[in-house]
Amino acid sequence: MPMPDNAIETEIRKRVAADDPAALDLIWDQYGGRLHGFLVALLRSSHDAEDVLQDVLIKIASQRTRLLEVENLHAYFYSMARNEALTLIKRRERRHQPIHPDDLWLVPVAESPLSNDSAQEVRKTLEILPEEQRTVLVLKIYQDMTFLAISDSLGISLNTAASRYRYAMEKLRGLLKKEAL
Amino acid sequence: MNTFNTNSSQGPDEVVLRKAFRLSAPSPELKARAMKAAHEAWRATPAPRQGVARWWYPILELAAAGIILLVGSQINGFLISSDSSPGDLAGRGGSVQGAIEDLDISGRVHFRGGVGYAGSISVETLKARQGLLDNLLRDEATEAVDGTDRQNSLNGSSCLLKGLA
Repeated sequence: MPMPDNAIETEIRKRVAADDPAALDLIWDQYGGRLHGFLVALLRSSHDAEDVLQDVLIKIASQRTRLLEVENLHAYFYSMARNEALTLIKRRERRHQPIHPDDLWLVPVAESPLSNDSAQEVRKTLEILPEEQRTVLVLKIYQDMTFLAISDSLGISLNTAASRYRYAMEKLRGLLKKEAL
Repeated sequence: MNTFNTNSSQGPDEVVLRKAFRLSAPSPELKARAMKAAHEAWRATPAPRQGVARWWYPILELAAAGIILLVGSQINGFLISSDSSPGDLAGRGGSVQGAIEDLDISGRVHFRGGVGYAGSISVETLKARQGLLDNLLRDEATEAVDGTDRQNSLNGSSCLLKGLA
């Protein structure tokens, strides 16, 4: 069972202060999966998410003194991940690089209540949601995060997190309705 | 067919979304690859100095406090020599000028140490504590300032002390 964030953050800081690279393992164990999911939602690409996550870890290691200064480590990690992801998105746009169609970020489950067609529609709809709304929706639904945890990690207010989720769901409903007509 | 209940006021059910998809998982080799790169970056970067510096802060603070106490006690030692006569003060020469900087008209004695430590003490306090003011303002001390009167001595601040020294 993962340790509470506060306890783990204290431990990470201790290790960094002692220049112990085991801090990286703690960071990976506590945040690796979460950050990967977050990046997948942002980038809509599993491959890109992996590359960015690796870059984030490298940055954390080479700028580790910052970990002794920042107040909220997990918000700092999410913020780093987001910045790296946005840089990649801009690069993609500049180079007109499409996401590879086989690079599924949202994988249909075998016992899905949705038909293949519907699943595809839903995924497409999720993909055209604004990034910030999609991110909150994914963190809430697929990472089981509470609005409080989401707001804390993304550095936004609780109300903003809840409204982004609501907007995302409304948009999803509206677009799906249009599809059904 | 769209299995979402699009007519419902509840809209798309998050349970349906949860059951229909999962987020793609990281590849098994990602951890090894990413951690290897991160550990290399760690080794290539010098150890944080901030943590070390923080260790020294309390020690530096203690040292600074020690210096201040030392300087303060020396000044105080000078001030508390209640039996000091102008002659005694004069005998201390530079200490007098270095330690006591000013005696202003509002009745405060300003002093300064060698490491930027500065302060002031009211004449009343000084008088109550040590009676030194009496010594400082003795007639012979005032007379020592080139014949100026008492008020001028006060206005002329350090002139008085210079005269004493």
